[in-house]
Amino acid sequence: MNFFSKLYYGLRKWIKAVQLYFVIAGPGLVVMIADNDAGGITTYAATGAKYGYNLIWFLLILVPVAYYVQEMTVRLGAVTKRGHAEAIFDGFGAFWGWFSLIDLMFVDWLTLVTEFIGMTSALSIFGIPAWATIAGVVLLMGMIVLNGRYWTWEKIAMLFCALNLIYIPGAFMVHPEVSDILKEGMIPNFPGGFNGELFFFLMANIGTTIAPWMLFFQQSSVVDKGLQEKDIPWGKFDTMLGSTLTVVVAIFIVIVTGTVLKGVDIDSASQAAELLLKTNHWVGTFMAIGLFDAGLLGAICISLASSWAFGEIFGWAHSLNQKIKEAPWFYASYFFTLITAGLVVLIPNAPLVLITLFVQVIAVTLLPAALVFLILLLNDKKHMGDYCNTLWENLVGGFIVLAIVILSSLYGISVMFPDLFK
Amino acid sequence: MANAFRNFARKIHEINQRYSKPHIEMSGAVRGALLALRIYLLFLVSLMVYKFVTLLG
Repeated sequence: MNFFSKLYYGLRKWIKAVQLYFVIAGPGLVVMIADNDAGGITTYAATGAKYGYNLIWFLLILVPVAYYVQEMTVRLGAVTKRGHAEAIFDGFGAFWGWFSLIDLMFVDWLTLVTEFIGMTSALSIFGIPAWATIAGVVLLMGMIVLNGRYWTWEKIAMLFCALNLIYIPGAFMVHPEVSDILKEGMIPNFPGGFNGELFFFLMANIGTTIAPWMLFFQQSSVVDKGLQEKDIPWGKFDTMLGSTLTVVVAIFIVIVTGTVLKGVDIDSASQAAELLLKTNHWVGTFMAIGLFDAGLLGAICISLASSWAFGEIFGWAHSLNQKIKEAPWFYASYFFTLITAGLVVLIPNAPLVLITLFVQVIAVTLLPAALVFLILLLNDKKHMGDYCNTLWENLVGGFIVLAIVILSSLYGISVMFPDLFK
Repeated sequence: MANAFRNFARKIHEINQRYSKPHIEMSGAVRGALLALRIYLLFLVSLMVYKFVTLLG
């Protein structure tokens, strides 16, 4: 009897913990899965096609990298109740504040254009014209945000996150050899030696794992959701689960292209989907649907990151819990960013490739600054109190930030000067 | 229209006033990090300008 009562109470405690998690879950999961945006899917597809399973070990390293960086935004948001833009303005003054805000505006807008490129190219595989995709996406995203509740928005976003897992059945359908994945992918190795091209791919994978908008988005999201200090452990768990899932999805994309398209040079995920359609209809279809979903998730988060940041600084009402009448400027900036980014894709002969490259270069100017500010703010005893970074967190976080700054800078430089690392 | 611009300029001025001083404790480490960031950004912007000029050329 004693055993059964213990089992019953243990189970009840467990169920309550899961229920509590589902209440708090959201910002970490959404931001990390949205990190696998259209650009990310292209990078992973190209990595698999180029190097097969050989760089899976490197993707696994990115789980703690993403977690340690994003976890800091959870603490900062829950303790200070301020978004990242406002925290920078308040902490470092107007100069660094404007620099971050204007840079964020450019990076987000350009990244949003790349999400639309991904979505239109994905649906063009099914014969849907670009204008219809853009109109549909704007309409859908409008309906998601205009319901007037953060909770509803978040749960809908989580449904799209679930769709991001479509690559997992896709990978099983191409029948990869598990022994090959373990043998080639799990032991650190540099296929073909450590050369410039491999270095470029490693940098691109890091660049897609940590993007500037993610810091701004998650912190604002934590604030809008109303997470408190007591919720921080769950927020951390949410972020850990999200960072694990994002890398799991990335690995399954690498397995798909590494199995079917090994040795093929891939320029975009839509190209990979078209090639896959020729060999396996369903896998190609999954790749295209996944690419559309990735672009949509990215667009959902990126457009909000900018609107939240502007609302914080300009003092506009800026919560998804407010109706359009209560927060007109917040929604106006949201739709302005969204519609103008979508329209760029419709311009005939628009320099879309140049825009895609430009995003990577501009992001490099914002990412190091945002990461340095993050570490400094997490060491501000006056505002953070007991939630300040410990020595261990500073050592780990500092090392990760330094590595990301160096590698993402080299990535940005290599985009500007492609012959530098050859 | 002119009124809207005036309001916007006033808002920017107000924000600049509100955040005129940094509220984080300006220790040596913070000052050092901000200086390094300035140098890094100057270097990066110089590279971009160089690339832009060579592209035009």
